[in-house]
Amino acid sequence: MPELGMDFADRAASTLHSQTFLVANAVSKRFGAVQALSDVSLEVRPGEIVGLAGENGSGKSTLAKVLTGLIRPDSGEISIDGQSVTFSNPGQALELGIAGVTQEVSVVPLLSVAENILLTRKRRFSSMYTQSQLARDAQPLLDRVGLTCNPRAQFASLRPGEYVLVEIAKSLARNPRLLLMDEVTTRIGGRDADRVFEIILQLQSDGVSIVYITHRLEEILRLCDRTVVLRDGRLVGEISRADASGETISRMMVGRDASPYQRPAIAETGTQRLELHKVLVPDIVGSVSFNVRPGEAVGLCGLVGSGRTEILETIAGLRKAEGGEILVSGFAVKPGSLTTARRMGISFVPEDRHKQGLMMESPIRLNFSLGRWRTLRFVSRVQETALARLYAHKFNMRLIEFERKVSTLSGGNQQKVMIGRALSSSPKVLLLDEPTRGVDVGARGEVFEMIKELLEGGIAIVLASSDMVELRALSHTIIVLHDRQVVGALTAEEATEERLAFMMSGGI
Amino acid sequence: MAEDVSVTAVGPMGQNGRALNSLKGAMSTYRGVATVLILLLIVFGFAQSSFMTTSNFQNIVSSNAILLVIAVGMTFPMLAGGFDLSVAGTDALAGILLSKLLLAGMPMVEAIGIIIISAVVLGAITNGLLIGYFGVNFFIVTLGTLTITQGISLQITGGNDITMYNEKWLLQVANNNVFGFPILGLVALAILILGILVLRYTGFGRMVYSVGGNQEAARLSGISVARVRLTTYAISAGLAALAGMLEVGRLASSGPTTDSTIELTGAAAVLIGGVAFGGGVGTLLGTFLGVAFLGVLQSGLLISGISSYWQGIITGIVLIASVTVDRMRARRASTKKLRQTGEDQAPTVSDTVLPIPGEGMSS
Repeated sequence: MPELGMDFADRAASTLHSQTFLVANAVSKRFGAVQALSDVSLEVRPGEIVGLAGENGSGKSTLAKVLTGLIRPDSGEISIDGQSVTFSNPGQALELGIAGVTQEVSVVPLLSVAENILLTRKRRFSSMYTQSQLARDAQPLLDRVGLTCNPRAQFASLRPGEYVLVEIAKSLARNPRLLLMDEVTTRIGGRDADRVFEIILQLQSDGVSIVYITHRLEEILRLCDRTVVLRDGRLVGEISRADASGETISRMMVGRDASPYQRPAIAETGTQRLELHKVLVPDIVGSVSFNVRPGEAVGLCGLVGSGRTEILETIAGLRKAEGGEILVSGFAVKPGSLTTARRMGISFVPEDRHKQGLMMESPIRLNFSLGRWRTLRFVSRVQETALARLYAHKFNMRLIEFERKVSTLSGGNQQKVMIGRALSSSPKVLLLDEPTRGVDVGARGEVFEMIKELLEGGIAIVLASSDMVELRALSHTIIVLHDRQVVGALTAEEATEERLAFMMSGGI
Repeated sequence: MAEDVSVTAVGPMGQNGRALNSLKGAMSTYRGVATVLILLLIVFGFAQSSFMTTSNFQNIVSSNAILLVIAVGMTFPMLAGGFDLSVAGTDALAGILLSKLLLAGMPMVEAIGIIIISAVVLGAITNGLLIGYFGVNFFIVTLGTLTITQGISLQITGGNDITMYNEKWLLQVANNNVFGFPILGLVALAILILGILVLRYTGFGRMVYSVGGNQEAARLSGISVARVRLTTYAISAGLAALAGMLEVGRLASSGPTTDSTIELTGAAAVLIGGVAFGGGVGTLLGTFLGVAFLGVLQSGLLISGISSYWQGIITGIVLIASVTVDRMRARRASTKKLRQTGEDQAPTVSDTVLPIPGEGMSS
């Protein structure tokens, strides 16, 4: 990188000229009914590590996307070195010295490490490169992040823990003056995370500013000079390193009263609806045992990748239990058979509406009736519409046109279509994976009400979620998972948000 | 949920407006191809007096009936998110086998039955099994079976055509009219109607759409995605074999190059008719309109004395234009939706963002 020296000189000069590198002033962004950001302001000084903390949906990632040019704000001003700037795509943000590193790995796995790192480098179509030249150019960046692999090695040959290092090297290729890091340590282990922290501190001493987004308070306490806390799209406050402690930050993040939702009481029938006896779930350490009575909801609480989805999928018959027994109303379910599980009354509502749940380009009617068809039986459009109308009415959906594509519905209504479909087979056990993911606040309350009604009707529910408010509002018992292992079971009364958060992040 | 409100709001258009919208929605599915088809009919009808005649329409019907049978068959795998390139090979091979079996003295009905059943079984265990159960890419598998069947045809015939002037029954079916309507056309229409009934009114039909629409959702709903896929390839192979045998009657001959490239013409018809290449969207009525368009275009050009080479050029332009217009319409609809709700971009961090209490954690 011949221009490296120049760049350092520029950077030193800019530090002298202005106190702050970036100022975001009163940034607002609205998505339909959701005010994702309202009047959020942020200042970043050169060589400063600013933490950005907040709960799920607090607007952290939206702010990061605004600053890296992925989303255009509705209002508000961004200035760099005191000059107002606008940018509408990541390329323009990179030009201005702002780069982002996200938890999503955005690489071409079959290309070499060097090619991936230099992917965002400015080039013309006519530019020609040799592999060895690319490797030479990439080497200093690899050194900077301490990655010792051969730059010509295929990206796919790296360990998953090294992916984020490549992502960081890639963002450094354009010599950014501000690096936004969004949950970069979510998927990596302790030693790799330590390397990331070293890189961050090294970058800081090089004068690069960092905005560090995380849900791990220990990382904030360890790294950040200052921490800005968001809640419901608003700036709650700012806390300096000296004043920061785990309690103060988490209080600022949560900042709400106990849930207004009242769990319905469990019918005292004494019988169990769903029983898991020492079930060995693939990829889960140890066995899983719990019971669910009619009208009871058991929550599976854990971070992404903690194994909660795997447990649900095993109960649903999508994965084959390697041991133990799953019983519905006392009868054993054949392991690994979706069809048997469905026949015995287990209904599964998957997490990802787009990938797993709905036929987005198909009419709402067909999405309601999916799975009710028998190969050689006739189907009736009238009956399908009647079924769709029944559940739409039941769930208070204001939709009339069942022939419209389901993709035209809001996320909340799409979720209701999925739950309605799961219910149309009159299940005894309902498995819900992240039932309010991507659903706006109003619809979320409606989905809660819906689940409550189902419980009152005597269905047994297993609910997997990373949203503690949701889990506490709906579940009678909460099973906590950490790192692919069940670490505890709490009753609703015992499960305070702080205790849950503590357990699912590895505390006992 | 802004977009729900926008639908149910009783604005100046009110109830009638909504009904009108839904009618428009149904019409818009075929708007492109139907408009072009009517346009062609008008232009050729005015330009050439011999175009709008019964005999010309009989000609159009009988020379495109076989394409319609092929296209109906291809619609099934395409709706399920696949594609069957091998129909041309199956078509030619079925014709050759029919000639050989008839020349060897086998009765017509038995020969036809055996060939259709073999084609269905072979389509199921080659294309169907490999694509459905082993997950091999449909393009590669059906390209392979296409060249294999073509190779077998060449091997059997030594590259020569087999003429069949003695099978009176077959020739009559293929070349005569009933009440002025070509029998070939009636056969093709019967297949079309059967196909429409299957796709619209049976559980299997729904499954085909759901596999194409979202195979993961279909799987989670207990549908055997592999079996549905397999069946669609069996159907397209069976109909391709039927088409090949009808062609023997029409041409009074069979040969290794008969109907070669009909898989591409068939695909063009299906796509012009509005079936999405990824599957899940489209109907056999659209496929019918696509075939009708190609047939009318071909006949019109022929009668007008325009070089038939133009047919390919115009077909290509219409194909690309119709798919592009669809794409643009879809994009406009989705940006409109985003402007209204922006839901999918809403702050829905898929991953957990959780407070961790400092107790015991602070370093």
